[in-house]
Formats: sequence, structure tokens, C-alpha cells
Amino acid sequence: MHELSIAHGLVEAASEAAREAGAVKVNEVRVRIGALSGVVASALLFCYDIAAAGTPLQGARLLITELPVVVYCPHCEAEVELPSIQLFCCPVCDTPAAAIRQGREMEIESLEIEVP
Amino acid sequence: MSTRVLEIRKGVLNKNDLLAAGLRGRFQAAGVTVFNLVSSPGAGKTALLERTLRTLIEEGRRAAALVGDLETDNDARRLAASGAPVRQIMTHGCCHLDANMISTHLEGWDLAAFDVLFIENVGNLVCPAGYDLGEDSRACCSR
Repeated sequence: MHELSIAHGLVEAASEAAREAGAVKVNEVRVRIGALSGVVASALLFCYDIAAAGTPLQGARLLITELPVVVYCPHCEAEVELPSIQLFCCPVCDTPAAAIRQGREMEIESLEIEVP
Repeated sequence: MSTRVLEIRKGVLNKNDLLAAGLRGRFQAAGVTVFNLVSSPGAGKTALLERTLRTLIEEGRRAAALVGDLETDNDARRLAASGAPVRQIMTHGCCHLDANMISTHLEGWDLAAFDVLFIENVGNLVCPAGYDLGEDSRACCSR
């Protein structure tokens, strides 16, 4: 249910960009989804075709890059990747680390389009 | 015909974020503090608001509420008993409120006439997290 409205937002934003660029066809849409975005890639893929039907994106491939959570560890003084979203502690030194540097993304990265 | 890659780097919910930023500006200009109340279903958002609105109105504060639900205006009728202006947002199956729903349901309201506006979201702790409504604070209700 949620992914369908996300898919509609995605299709709307991408269609607008494609139109502005004068595209006659969109071959591919690349999106970046963070582990904390609340969006499940498989559910988004499932909804995408329905949302894209009858729009300039109909038939365009959807490629999803899933991004893990990256936090800043004040003890290691470095950005570290978390193995899961359950525990916000540095996987190296176990220091609690809540400064999120990556993982909330829900963005359209690029479109591959055909132009006359 | 040629193929090219168009860099976008734009949030999927960019449109919602822009609308929410507009709402936030309107709220600030009107001097109204806005809370977005979220929780899982049945946690007591409406009960909390019922009591809060009643207390605020009794204290002479100018409080109002927008209340989201999938169907029915039961919650709005419950909250209106406090005497505060209340409007129901029926999402007809949509699992969260978005900035556009807030914007359309504010029509005709003079925001400057309120000190505080509560937005009761749809009972769901997943989807509402992604949608900025222009609020000052998001409050999570649990028991």
C-alpha cells in the first residue's frame, strides 16, 4: 500500500524530468533506497509496473540500489556501516553511534532516455 | 535518435517535501505550533487528543485539530466535543497523511486564529514516517 504511493511519486517525478529533457522514451530509471527509508525494494518493484502504466515510464526498467546505514562513530572518528538497522552501535568498538550519514535516501538517481 | 543518461538526484517524495516546506512557512507566519501525532493503531492518539484539546480550550488556548482516518468521521466528532475546531481527513484507504491532504483541509481556516494545531495521523508507524506535513514536531504516542 505504502510502496504504491511511493511508486506513484517516483513515476510522477521521473515523468516530469523526462518530459523536460524532451525524451521520447525512457529506457531505465535508477533509484537509491536507504535501509531506513521504510521502502522494501521487492514491494516497490511490484508496484512500479502498475504505477508506470500509461505514463512516459511505461516499459522502462527500474533499477534499485539498496544502501546500508552508515553512521559516524565518535570513538573511531570514522564513518562505519551498520550490519542491521536494529542496533545503532559501532560494529568495530561498540560505541553508541546515532549520527546517521546514510540510509534515509529515497531518491531518483538518473534516467536513461531516448532523445530525437 | 540518441540515448543519454539524465542525472536527477531528486527525492522521490520531492513534491511532498516542497509542499510541506510551503506549509511550514505558512504555519510559522501565522504563529501556530503544529504537532504531527503518530502511533500504531489503537495506541490512544484520539483519547490523548480528546483530553488535551479539552484542557487547552478550558485554559482559553486556541487549539484546533485535523484528524486522519481511512474512513468515517467518528474521530472528528469525538474531538469536536472539546469545542475546538476539528476537521476530518478521510484518506479512503491510504495509509498515511501527505502534505497535499493537509493543505486542502486547511482551506478556509484562518491559521492566525490558532495557537496550536494537532494533526492526528493514520494509525500506522511505518508509512507516516516518510511524509513531512510541515509540522514543528512529530510526537509518537504509545502505551
